Amino acid sequence: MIEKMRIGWIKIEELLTSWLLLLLVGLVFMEVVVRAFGSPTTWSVGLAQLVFIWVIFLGANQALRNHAHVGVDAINYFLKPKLRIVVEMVMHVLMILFLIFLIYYGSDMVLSTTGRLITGTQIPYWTVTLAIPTGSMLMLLTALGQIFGKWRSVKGNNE
Amino acid sequence: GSEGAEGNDGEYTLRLGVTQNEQNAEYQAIYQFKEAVEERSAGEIEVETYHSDQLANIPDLIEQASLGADVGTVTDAAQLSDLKKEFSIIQSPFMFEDISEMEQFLESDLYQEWVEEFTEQGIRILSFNFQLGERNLATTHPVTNAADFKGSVIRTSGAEIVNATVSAMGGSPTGMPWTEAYPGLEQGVIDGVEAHNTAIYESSMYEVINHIAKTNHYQLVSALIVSEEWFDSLPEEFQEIVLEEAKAAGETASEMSMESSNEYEGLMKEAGVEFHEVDREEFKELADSVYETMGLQEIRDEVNAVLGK
Amino acid sequence: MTIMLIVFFVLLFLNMPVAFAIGISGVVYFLSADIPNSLAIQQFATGTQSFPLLAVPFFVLAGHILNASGITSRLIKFANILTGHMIGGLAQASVLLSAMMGGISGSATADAAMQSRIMTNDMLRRGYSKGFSTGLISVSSIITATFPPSIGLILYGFIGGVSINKLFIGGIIPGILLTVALMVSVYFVAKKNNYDQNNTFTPPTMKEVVISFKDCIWAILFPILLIVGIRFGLFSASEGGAVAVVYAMTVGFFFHRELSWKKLKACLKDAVTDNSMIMLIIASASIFSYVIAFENFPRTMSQFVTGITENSQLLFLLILLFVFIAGLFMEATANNLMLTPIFLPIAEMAGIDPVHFGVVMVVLITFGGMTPPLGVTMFAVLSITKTGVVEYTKGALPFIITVLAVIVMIAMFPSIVLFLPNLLLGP
Ligand code: NA
Ligand code: NA
Repeated sequence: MIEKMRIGWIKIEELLTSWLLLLLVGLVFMEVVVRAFGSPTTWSVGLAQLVFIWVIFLGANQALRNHAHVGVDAINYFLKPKLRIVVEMVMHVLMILFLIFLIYYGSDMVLSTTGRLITGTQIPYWTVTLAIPTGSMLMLLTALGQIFGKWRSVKGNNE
Repeated sequence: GSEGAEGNDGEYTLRLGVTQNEQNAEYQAIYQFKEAVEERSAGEIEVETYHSDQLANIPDLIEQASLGADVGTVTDAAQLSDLKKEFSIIQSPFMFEDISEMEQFLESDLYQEWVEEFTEQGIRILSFNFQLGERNLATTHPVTNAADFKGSVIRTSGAEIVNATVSAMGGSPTGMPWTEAYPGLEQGVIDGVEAHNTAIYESSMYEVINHIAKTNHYQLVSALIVSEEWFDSLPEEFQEIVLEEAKAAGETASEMSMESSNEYEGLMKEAGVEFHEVDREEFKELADSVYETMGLQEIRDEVNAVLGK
Repeated sequence: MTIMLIVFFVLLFLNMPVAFAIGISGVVYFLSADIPNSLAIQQFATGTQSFPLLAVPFFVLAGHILNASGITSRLIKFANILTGHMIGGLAQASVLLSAMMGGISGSATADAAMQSRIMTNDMLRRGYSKGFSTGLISVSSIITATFPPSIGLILYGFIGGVSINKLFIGGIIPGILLTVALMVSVYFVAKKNNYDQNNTFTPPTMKEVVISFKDCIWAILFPILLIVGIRFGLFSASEGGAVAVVYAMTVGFFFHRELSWKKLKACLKDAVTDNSMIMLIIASASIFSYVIAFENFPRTMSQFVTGITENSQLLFLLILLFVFIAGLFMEATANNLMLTPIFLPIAEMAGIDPVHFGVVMVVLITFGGMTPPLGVTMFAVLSITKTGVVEYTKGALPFIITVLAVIVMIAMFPSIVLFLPNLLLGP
């Protein structure tokens, strides 16, 4: 059941980010076209930046799932495999704490909003900020899944 | 902070950031503010100053101040009007006959009322007297009347009131970062910008525009704002000092801007930019619709009542 | 700030993903200092809210679609015919492509990301090492930052109040110099390592060139249309990325008929992953920059530098050394914002021309994105090609040295930069 929901969500997320990216292209391209006809909009830049941050933070979860976030790999030349797993676990825990920080203060930031608007639009700026706790929440679930999976495989190897 | 910067031993630390560079009047003025406030408070108040958006950009700093961080900035009225609509009147087209009329308004009880109401947003306006210059239309093609201007694609700051003004005068406002305006003008993506002399000259924008129509559709006047929480934490005598010096800083900025505006106008003329006197009444009539579209009629009436108009 | 830097390097060493290493160490500072924690969130968001940055996702996506619509394969075929007989032919083509891209895109990262999509696999197939391929693609994208339009030069001109026109023209000769120098160093490295020197290749006949040219006419038209569009004011450099995407899609769907909805969906998905990875680093870097500004680190630094020497050339080199070191660890845009206001006044006092200084600074600052251990351009390439930093560093080293040599040369001979602007615009 949970697995089904997870797979379902991954599909939705991928569809969503793909369409948002396409929308981003469309928005900026549209601005080029309407300006060529002498009637530019004032809102396309602001809206594009709003779409952009959502692509980034929803996509960050996709990147985390696919292990696409790069690190400096120097450690792998120095550490024994067993120690490496311990280090990996510790890094995962730190990452989770960081994500919790982003969720907590991100929500705080969204809720304590000041009436600030996205430049050139009437859209409240908290819609930009909201991408951070939302994306972080998704990443938190992914990271928990990964750490759980790793824990099981380590235990499995030892038995 | 637990590991504060060098010499950071004042009781009350404030960080002030502006968008303009180090030579600009805005920065020079907040630097004067820093020195005066530090001296008069015997170092109890410490002010760190930042130029070129180094600390953060203006909307970020306003948000930080309202969230209670010990920061402040110099910002125009349009930016503040997102948080309190009344302020957009200060940047509305052809609202004030001249600077002295605006000063008359800034002395009024109505304005003081707005300032007090604004503290509910967490922001304290220390002074609203940074007169930075007349806003004109700087374009690649000559604009001598409204017909010339019709249909021109104009870069604006993106503020709603400014967009509405440019639209009403017949132009097509487009949102674009100031840094993109230079190549935009050079390549013809846009036909012009609405700006004041110092902004045009100091960012080299005069290299890519050929004409400036002196519409003076509004006077750019900015405010020195700080976090209300920080201001409130000061003893009363320090609050006095800060308010006085903020006013003095605004006066300095205004004088410097006036001087450099005239100097730059000469330099730009030498560089081949043509300045055009225009019939301001024509633009004023066109821009009048702004008050209706922006829903500012009532506020305008209130202000006019104060001014005895 | 010391604690922040220590935490950062420890995490980095322990293979924490870069975006998180920067973010976590920044947060450590916020927790220990007297700043509301929510400001970390604000800066995180602000890092993404820059219009010129949009060029990055667009050119990354364009790179994917260029591949899927058969434009790339035709272009590389053409490059093969032109350069196949040369030593390190395909690598030479990569350098030339960067120079061509320079006139289209203002962002080195966007160029590098696109090229690593397009060229890496073919380079590996031709027998180049992965380190060499990624190193060259990343480092040669520095050329993009010298030819107009260049986001770095625009930013510098804006912050320093320096003529952007002069800066643009001043960047042209250094750009050509970098192109030539990199091609020469490709020749030597390829020769030494026996890369891509298939002697069976003979110089192409005119007929072969014409046939292959016709085959990839849409690809050749691609940069030309972009340049024409930008030069004639149809769109700005950042918008050019969106136009590139639409163009690539049009050619793929209607002319080559190689692009399908299924392929496009895969392109979008890959581009989302690439972009999020790159942008998350840029976003978290803005937390870092905030702390550095908050601590007024730049001012301390400038007092330190001016205390050492008053000789202007020595001072220039000293500044460059500092910018280089800062570039090793910090993001280019942040460096530009932080360092220009500190060093430009010092340079002007020492009698260095601001246009000359600007071109050198911006090239060096942009170069910071390509130098390990930290660099956005580098990470873009590494994540796309799944390469390690150590492997990259080995491969990139000869090119890093080449670029540094050119930078020092440009710094020491002002006329390399100033000749063209003085000729065209007067001193
Ligand atoms: Na370029
Ligand atoms: Na670097």
